[in-house]
Amino acid sequence: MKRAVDTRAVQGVLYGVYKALHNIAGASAPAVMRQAAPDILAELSKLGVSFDCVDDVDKLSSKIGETMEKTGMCDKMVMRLEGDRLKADITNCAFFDLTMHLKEDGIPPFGCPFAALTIAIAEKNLGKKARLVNLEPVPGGNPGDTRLEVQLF
Amino acid sequence: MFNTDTILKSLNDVQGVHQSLIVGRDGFVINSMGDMEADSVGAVISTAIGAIEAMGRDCKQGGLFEVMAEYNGGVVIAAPIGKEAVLGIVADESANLGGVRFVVKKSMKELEKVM
Repeated sequence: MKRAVDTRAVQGVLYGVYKALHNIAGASAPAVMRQAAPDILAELSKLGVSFDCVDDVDKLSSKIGETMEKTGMCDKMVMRLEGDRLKADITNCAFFDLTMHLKEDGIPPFGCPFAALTIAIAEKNLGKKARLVNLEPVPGGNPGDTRLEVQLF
Repeated sequence: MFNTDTILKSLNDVQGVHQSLIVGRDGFVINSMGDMEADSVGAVISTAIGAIEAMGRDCKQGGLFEVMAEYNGGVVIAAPIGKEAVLGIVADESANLGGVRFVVKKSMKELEKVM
């Protein structure tokens, strides 16, 4: 059953969880997300959101973009491969306010679901090792417009 | 000239050491040597050292040099390499702990140069 949830409630919960994780794991907090991401994928699959069809970068781009848009995580997510860099432009990220509040507290966006899922799918379905190298607001963009860059090995 | 391969090999050459790895703070395994599930071990070691550092911070003990955990089957040693990476070593109960720690200390200087 699909239900609409006020993102403020989700952001409030995530704020507390991410802040606690960062307090506990410090600079290694992203490693927690790396461990969590495959389980997020598995759980999404159980809930009917499967990425099993993804076997190349084009399918990764279209499937993850479609999923993020349909679930209201962002208005649009467009991905492209430049050399060994997978770059994504995310329009109106639903977690932008959360990211900014965490940033004000000195906490980096280690819990970004866009990055976590991109890395997990690239590793599981494309057989690549993947690492987040950059995540920042689009220069001159609207609030919520974010650029994500993952390096593939 | 050192590189991460030669450094990890010198660590694995120490009696009792059978696995060593270098992992980024994000849990990404940069290099590993020995028979292990490097991805899962790396993620756990990175997370663990973050937690141990946080304990030192909250207890006002300053920066962390090294952490050693003793288990029934041997030891796990982890040490931060600057702010970006962590060295992890797994050794069995036959390892001379003093010898292992000496090689770790020596390796840390070399790793800081090549990382």
